Amino acid sequence: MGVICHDAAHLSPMYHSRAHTIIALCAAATMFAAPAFAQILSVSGGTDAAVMDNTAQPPRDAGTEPNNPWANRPVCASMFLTSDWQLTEKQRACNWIQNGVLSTNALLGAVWSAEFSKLRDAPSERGDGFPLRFGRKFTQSAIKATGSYLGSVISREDPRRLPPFLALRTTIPPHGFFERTAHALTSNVIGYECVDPCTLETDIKKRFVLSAVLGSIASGVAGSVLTTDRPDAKDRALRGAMSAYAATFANAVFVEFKPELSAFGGRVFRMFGGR
Amino acid sequence: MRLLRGLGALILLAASSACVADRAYRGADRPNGLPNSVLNEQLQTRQFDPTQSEDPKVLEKPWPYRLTFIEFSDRGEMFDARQLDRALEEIAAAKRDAAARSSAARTLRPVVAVFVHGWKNNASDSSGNVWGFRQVLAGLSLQYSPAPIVGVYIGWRGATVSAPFLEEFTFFDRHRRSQSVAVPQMPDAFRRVMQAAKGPTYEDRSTVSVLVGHSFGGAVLETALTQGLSDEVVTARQQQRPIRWPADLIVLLNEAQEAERSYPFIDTLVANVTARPPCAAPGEERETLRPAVISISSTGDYATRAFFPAAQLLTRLFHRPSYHGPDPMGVGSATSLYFSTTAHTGALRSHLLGRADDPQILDALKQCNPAVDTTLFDNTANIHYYIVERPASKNRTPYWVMHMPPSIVPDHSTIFTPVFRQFLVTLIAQALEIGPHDRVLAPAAP
Repeated sequence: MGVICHDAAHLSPMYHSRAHTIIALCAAATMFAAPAFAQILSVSGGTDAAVMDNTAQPPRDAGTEPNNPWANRPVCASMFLTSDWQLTEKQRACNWIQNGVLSTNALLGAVWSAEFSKLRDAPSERGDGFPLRFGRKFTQSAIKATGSYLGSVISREDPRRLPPFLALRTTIPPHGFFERTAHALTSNVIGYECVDPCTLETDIKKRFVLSAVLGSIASGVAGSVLTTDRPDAKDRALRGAMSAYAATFANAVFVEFKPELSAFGGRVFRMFGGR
Repeated sequence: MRLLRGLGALILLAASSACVADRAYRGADRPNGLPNSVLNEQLQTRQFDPTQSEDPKVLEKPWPYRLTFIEFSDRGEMFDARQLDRALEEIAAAKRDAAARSSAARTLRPVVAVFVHGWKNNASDSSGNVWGFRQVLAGLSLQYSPAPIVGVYIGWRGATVSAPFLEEFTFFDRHRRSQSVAVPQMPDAFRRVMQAAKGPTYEDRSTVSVLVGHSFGGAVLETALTQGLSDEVVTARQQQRPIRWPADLIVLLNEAQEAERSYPFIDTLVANVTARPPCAAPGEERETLRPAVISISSTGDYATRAFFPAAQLLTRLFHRPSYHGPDPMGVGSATSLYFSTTAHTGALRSHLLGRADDPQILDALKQCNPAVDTTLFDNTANIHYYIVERPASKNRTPYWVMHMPPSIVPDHSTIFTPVFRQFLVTLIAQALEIGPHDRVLAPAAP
């Protein structure tokens, strides 16, 4: 699908309206394909297998061994992706598709970027309509997620920002604005892997967050490749990668202070509601 | 234009194929090929608590439990009343089993845990809440071994659309439904389940019983229980007897419901129940009382902290804040209660929950001993979490309200983390070691 979108972006001006259609449609199709992807990436049989196994439950008085349903769990369900102590390779791939390529955030981010790029009126996108801008941004986001995924595989870091095994750490969590900001910025450079058996704090190993670097490079390159027929493509690749990397730091700080920002947001909405 | 038509058609197609039907996912006596509503299952230690040990023998040890389902339609009616009968039979069988295996040296207390799922979930095996509840049951099995464990999963139509992004728009509809679905048959179903566990007058202390509701499931649970609880509190005062709580503990987790729906019950408690005595200062011995209800939300739950007030702002056009009571906690404004959930209303919060080395907890510990001390990863990292009375809180009722840190539950939906599962299981065990807050005030003057 990415290839089609990419090719569409390279069509001559004569075919631009068709290119718009293809890019926007493939972005939308990608978005709605999430459940299907999740199903494909799930364990064989997935939910249906679990259902069949459970149907075979013996009645209480049969006195037979209880059934262990674990093998039939939908490993790619969001609950397991967030709460499993360590992720398998399959779950990492699911995380890439569900929480990267096809996430609600990716969709909303693409809508926002497409709308914002109109206001910015950059030469590289001048004259393009919303559907084309949206398709381009969504594709760029998907390529960025792919770069992040590859980075996390190479550096063996856990792709989750707060993997559950961090609860094993006995060090005092950071407090105060500056300490927490420093912690957030550091967490964008140093990630974690928990090595087997992952039962002690000493099993948690530090890893360089290559995912943020590769994701940013992929984003910058994609942004430039999707608009190769426009001026300054190479410069834009570099600038795009750097701004994407800077954005990962901003996001890390945002995530760190999300509780306070949520409370502030709630107060603002209450204020609008009057007394 | 053609593009827009294409997109529109695609969205309609995706939305229609992603509808989640209003149907039962479990069948009593396996009708229509549905999976059984009573499951006899077990999980190995590594499948719910990988930190227990490095010893493979320990990690592979199975922990059995029974999981039963009772499902309700979108109109609040049971799909199949036999599901309830089967659940009651399981509870009765667990009690018989525990009694038969108890001895003079060791009394087995069967555990009955009820869970009401939240938004975007149902009773199917593809629902994450079903699996998380399984892990909680296995954790209870380990904690209370070898006592029998019965889980009752209350299913309702928490999900109407499964397509990503589109499902977010079901918030308003499911919010209202969570309050209406609880009215027709659920109160009676809960009453029968709890009476099966704790006897007709809820005085059977041989069974451990817990009710947990998450998100809109918290709203379902609270709506279904409030009337019965209020009646019991008022009756107990009239009869000058201890309150008979229907469960040992009721936990509302990241509840997505206006505080104005909880506050009238808190009013009733203030008016009829003795206030919790001041906390014991460090080094002092004093009786601690167990809460009847704990409403607890994560500070990282931006869905109920920021999005919920935003959604309420939109519906404000069609609804008015409804609380006009005496306001014993000094919230000050009915609008605040309309926009906030209970746990996010500062004036209602009674306790602090956090790691033992959290500065806020350390400050509170200077004035009070911890009410509850739970140790997580006690075989490995050994991390303490304390529940300590919040200094100067006006809420001295058996309805405890508190925030929890993102290290236990990081956001609104990710509730069944290993940390939270352990926390819940140890919280139940700890809370049961203290006596219930059940004393009523003297009779009102005529």
